[in-house]
This record gives sequence, structure tokens and C-alpha cells, in this order.
Amino acid sequence: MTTTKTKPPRRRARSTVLAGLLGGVLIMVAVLRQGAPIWSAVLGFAILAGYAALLFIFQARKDTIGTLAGNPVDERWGLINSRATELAATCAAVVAVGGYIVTEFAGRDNWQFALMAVVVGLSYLAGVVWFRRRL
Amino acid sequence: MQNDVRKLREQQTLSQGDLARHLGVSRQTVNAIETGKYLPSLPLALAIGRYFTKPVEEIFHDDDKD
Repeated sequence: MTTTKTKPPRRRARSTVLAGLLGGVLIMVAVLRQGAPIWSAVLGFAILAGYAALLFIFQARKDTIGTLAGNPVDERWGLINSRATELAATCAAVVAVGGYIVTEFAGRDNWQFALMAVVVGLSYLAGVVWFRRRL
Repeated sequence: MQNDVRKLREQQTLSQGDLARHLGVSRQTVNAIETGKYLPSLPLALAIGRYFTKPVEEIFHDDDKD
């Protein structure tokens, strides 16, 4: 019986950093192709590159970096990861529903918020059905 | 829920890091268990009991019990 996972390999953190940088570059290129201002392309890059930089800066702290890289070092870090994911999902749901309501009142196009709210809601329902069978 | 992990560890003059290595968890997790911030899973509680050669219920007990 094992109680924990092994320590995350450094390669995993490196690949997460590289994936963040690559994603940032792809977003920047996509935004520039649409003729958008450079600052918006840089912002798109900065969001993902910032996350990658966070991983790089904290790489000395293996516990944190392992969790951020999606590989918690033990069960407590797994719980921390779950709680953080739960918090992020709650924020996403609030933004989706809140954004939909605000834009509806303003009479602006709001299909993106509606789509986001539907995806969050359906994925939550799917999660309940799935984990009810698995846990 | 209270526990005697710190007392048992100190009796064996182990550091939190030493115990963490034996249990395969991080030092912060051992600290969180000792301070009562984190309640370990059943497998980890059993591993702690096995390490100190004590039943789990002797190490982890209700708040109203010494």
C-alpha cells in the first residue's frame, strides 16, 4: 500500500514551463494575425508566460512547483490542488454568470459568457455523475 | 481531532524532515498533521501507526480525550 506519489521529476516542471511559453507565443501570433494592437498580443503572451515564469521562480520549492505542474507531491498537496481548482472553478462560474447578466443589462453581445456558463454548468453535472460512480 | 505525532517523533529524536522521508510525504505535511491543520488519509494514518508501532487510535484521538 502506498500513501503518496513520488516526487515530481524536474522534467515535468520544465515541460510545463515550455508549454506555457509555447502557448503564449501561439496566442501572440494568433492575436497579431487578426491585426489587433501589439499590446493585446503581448498581454496574451504575458498571461501564459507569467504562469511559466511563476513555475520557474518557484522551482526551488519542489512541493509548490509539483502542485502547480499538476503533480502534487503527496496527499495534502493533492488536497491543496483540489481546493485551488475548486476556487478557480467557482471564480469562473461567477465571472460567466455575472458577465452574462451585466452584458444582458447593457444590451451587448454576450454569447461568450453564455457559452462559458453552459460549459461550467455541464462539466459540473458531468463531474458529479462521473465521480459518483468512481469515488 | 488531536494526535501525538509530535510527541512520538520527538521521543525518537527525529526531525520533521526525517519522519517525512520515512512516510514519503513533504515536511510541511508532517508539520500540518502535528499542528492539527491537516487530517491524514487512512493509508497515511496507518503508515504513521506502523512507523511508531502503535495502533492508529492511540496516536489519533478525539478532542475530549488525552
